[in-house]
Amino acid sequence: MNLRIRLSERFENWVVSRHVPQPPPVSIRRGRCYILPTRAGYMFALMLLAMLLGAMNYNNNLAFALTFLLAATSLVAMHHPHANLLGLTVHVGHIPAVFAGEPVWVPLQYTNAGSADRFSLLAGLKRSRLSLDLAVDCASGETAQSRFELPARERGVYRLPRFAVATEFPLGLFQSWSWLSLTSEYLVYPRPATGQRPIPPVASQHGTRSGQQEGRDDFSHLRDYRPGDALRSIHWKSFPHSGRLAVKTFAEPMDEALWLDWHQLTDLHDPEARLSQLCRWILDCEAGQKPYGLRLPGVEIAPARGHAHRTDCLERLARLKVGS
Amino acid sequence: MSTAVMTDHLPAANVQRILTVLMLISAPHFARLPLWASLLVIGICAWRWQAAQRTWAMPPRLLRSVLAIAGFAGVYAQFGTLNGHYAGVALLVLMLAMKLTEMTRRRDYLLVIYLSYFLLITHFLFSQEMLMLPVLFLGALAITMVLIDVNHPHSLLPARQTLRLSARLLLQALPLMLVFFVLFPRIPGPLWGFPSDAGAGVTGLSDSMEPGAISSLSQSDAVAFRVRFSGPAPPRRDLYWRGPVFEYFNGRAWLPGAWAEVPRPVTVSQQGPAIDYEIQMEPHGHKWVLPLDLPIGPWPADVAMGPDLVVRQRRNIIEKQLFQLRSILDYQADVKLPLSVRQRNLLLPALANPRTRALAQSWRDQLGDDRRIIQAALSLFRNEAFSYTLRPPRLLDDQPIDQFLFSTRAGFCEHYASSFAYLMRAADIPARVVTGYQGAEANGDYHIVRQFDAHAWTEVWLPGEGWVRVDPTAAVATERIELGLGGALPSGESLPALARMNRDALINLRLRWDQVNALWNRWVLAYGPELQQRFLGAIGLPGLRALLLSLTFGTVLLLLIIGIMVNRGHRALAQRDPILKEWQRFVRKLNKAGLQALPQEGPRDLSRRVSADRPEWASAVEPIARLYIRLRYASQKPDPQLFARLRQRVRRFPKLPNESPTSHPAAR
Repeated sequence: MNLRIRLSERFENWVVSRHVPQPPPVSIRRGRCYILPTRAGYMFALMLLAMLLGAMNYNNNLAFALTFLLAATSLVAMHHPHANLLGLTVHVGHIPAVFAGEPVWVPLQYTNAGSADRFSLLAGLKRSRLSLDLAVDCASGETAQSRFELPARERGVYRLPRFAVATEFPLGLFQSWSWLSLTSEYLVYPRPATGQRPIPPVASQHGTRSGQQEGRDDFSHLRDYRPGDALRSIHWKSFPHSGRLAVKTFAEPMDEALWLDWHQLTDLHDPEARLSQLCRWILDCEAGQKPYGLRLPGVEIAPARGHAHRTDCLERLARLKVGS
Repeated sequence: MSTAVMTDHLPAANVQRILTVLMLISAPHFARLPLWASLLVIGICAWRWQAAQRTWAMPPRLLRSVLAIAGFAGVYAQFGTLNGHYAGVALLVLMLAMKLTEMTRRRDYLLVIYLSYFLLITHFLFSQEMLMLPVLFLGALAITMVLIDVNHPHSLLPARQTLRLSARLLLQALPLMLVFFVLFPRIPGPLWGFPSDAGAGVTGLSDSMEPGAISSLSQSDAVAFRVRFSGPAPPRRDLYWRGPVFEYFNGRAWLPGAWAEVPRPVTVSQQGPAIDYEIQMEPHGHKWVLPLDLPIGPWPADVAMGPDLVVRQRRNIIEKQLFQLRSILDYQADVKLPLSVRQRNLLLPALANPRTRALAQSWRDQLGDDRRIIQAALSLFRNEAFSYTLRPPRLLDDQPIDQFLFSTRAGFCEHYASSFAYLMRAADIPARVVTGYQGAEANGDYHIVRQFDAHAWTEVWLPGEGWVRVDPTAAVATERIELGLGGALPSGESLPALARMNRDALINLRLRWDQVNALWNRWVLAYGPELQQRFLGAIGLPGLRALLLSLTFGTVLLLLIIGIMVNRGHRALAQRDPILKEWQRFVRKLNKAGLQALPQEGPRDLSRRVSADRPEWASAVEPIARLYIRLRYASQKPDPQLFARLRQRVRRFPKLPNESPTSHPAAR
């Protein structure tokens, strides 16, 4: 048993050493395509052995014939999952970010440039625990969508771990698989805090203003376009010179904006708890359609609202390095 | 897992396919199963069919256990054993059906499918006729289909597609199977012995002879064995196929003597030429081989001749087997008979059949000489009103020989052999009864011996001559020996069609079919350790080492070839499509130059982007994209000239084709 573990560790290390992360899409090449019998395959071999012993005992040539036919079929069937996988192109799309504690679903796109259809393609982290329920087919010359689940993680930015694309089709006796190490990343936002801490009030010297009035009076500076910015706020005049879209921002009196501020959450000593609280507020503000700004150590995002702004803020929370 | 609320992991149609295949595979067994078992199996399948359709829950575990125990008990009650072909198959079919009531998970389906393969193999315990070959392939095809289905659970593949996949797998496996069949080392079986009922239900000689034993065989035209002589066949009257010999008479039945098989030296001296021949034995469930009287060595493996001159194999013959044998027609055997054996062959039950004893004693007194006594007995049969019939009057138990010799005088060969041996023993001549077959029918280049050729004769021991065959039936009905059963029996007695003298076209057809079967038996069914060695010797691969080497080499070679074939099917489209190939070459060149083609980008988009990024390449890129689009999408049949231009431009890229016109002529 110990030897087995050691051997499998060595094998894993060898595999890892062969796989430098690549940007998607990748094509499964011959040297990266492994094959081993499945549990069902071993069961089948056991059954064949029983059949063979029976045939020998009775010296029964038709029993020999069937045993040999099945043995030959299972050997031939070794080629099929291999061919089923070889040359398949795997593309990982944008992995949707999740909140900490939620499972991550990795979207996959298979492209079959081969001349034969491919069946029952599986993907997952552990090749021994691939669910046939999520298998997809990919016809010749077409693409197919699939996905697989990653276990929930804590807040942060993660490199997509090495995963397996595999198939056991047609007989399930052998599994052919390839390890894919891709450069794709995914974000895990902080877990939204559950406490009833109220959103900090809009600090204003002139009384409370409704947040819907974004400061559009005093032009301040240009910043890069971000998806979700209103078309009319784009500064078209600067486009021909710079070649990039810029957005006009307007100075807004600091005291009139709703700021979600890391530094004000002094009573929460755990940085992750602060981030959770900020996350909760961002979600609440979005739900209440209030504009908000975000201040983190070294980061400041001007108040706004909308999907892009929310994503931007949450991403900053996810990427924040604390404790340094 | 003990809860009863489990529903299927597979779509209903998938489960129903498994059930259909299961019914097909078990259907031939229904004739062998007790009726209740067949009905139970059909019932469970029908219920499971509905359960799949209506997503019923599986029955609770208690009910399943009760059902399983009841099944075991039922089989045991029916057969009195769980060990045996019939009981085993009944058990297998029942357990398979019960497994259906808890079949919800993938591994349950797999188990059911694997057991179906097992069920398929059990058919061959009962029959290995040539017609079972399609059963083998169609069965394997159907089961493999559902195995493919189980590995494609998320959506049901069309039946035609799984059929095609399954057929392709089996076809690819076929050459490999042949290699295994021929080269896999065969060892003489059995490994652990046979169940008690192995070979049951076959007709043939039995290990005792009582009145009616052989006449019952005469109703069967089943093949007992087939013979192929290396030289010309001996005449029909010499074709005595020697089977079990009986030395002990209990007053009614002849039985093998208790000491018959105890080894003792037996001398056989040869006179006349040897006859070589091959026997394709049909299974009869006993040990004896039926050689031409009298066989001499060399014996096949596991075969030996006993002191009673009966040739036996170490194990029962329950499968078709092939024997290479040698016999002589003229022989002297056992000339120095030990006293104990002599006495054994003179033994008669005391007191019974006084008239017969008196007759024999009078012959001994008047004639004295053994030969003349034998002649007297034969002329009794020949000259008195003895008749040869399949329907003799019933003999009473207490004085059967007296009754036959002096009153009924009608009987079949066993009556004549039995009473003749009795007469001889009563006259102090050692005698015994031999059963076997007499005659054979030529069919093509071989002879068929059928069950209705079964016969009984006697052997008497004469000083200086050893055992001498005497066939009293020949005295009564010479035609039996010269022409066979059909010629000897009075018309009106019921006979199998093939035994009759007048033949019709249908019978000729049956004989043709038998020729095909004989080939099947000879080359496929009889292939075993011996034939394998002969075959390998003939092709120059003697010995286990050469066998294993050629097996390994053949397997690896075939797997390689099949691997190449399978991968060809999956070869990239580009390799079959020269236009796409050129385009991909172009894209690779761009890649090397640091311009990644994006997956969503068509040729037009790509060329635009490249031209924007590298204006100096614009004049090279745009024609390539244009040519590619025209070739690919404009017409069904691409213009070869356009293709040549595309090819030239791609190969020269990023240079333009006319930049160095000297290096490549325009003919390209």
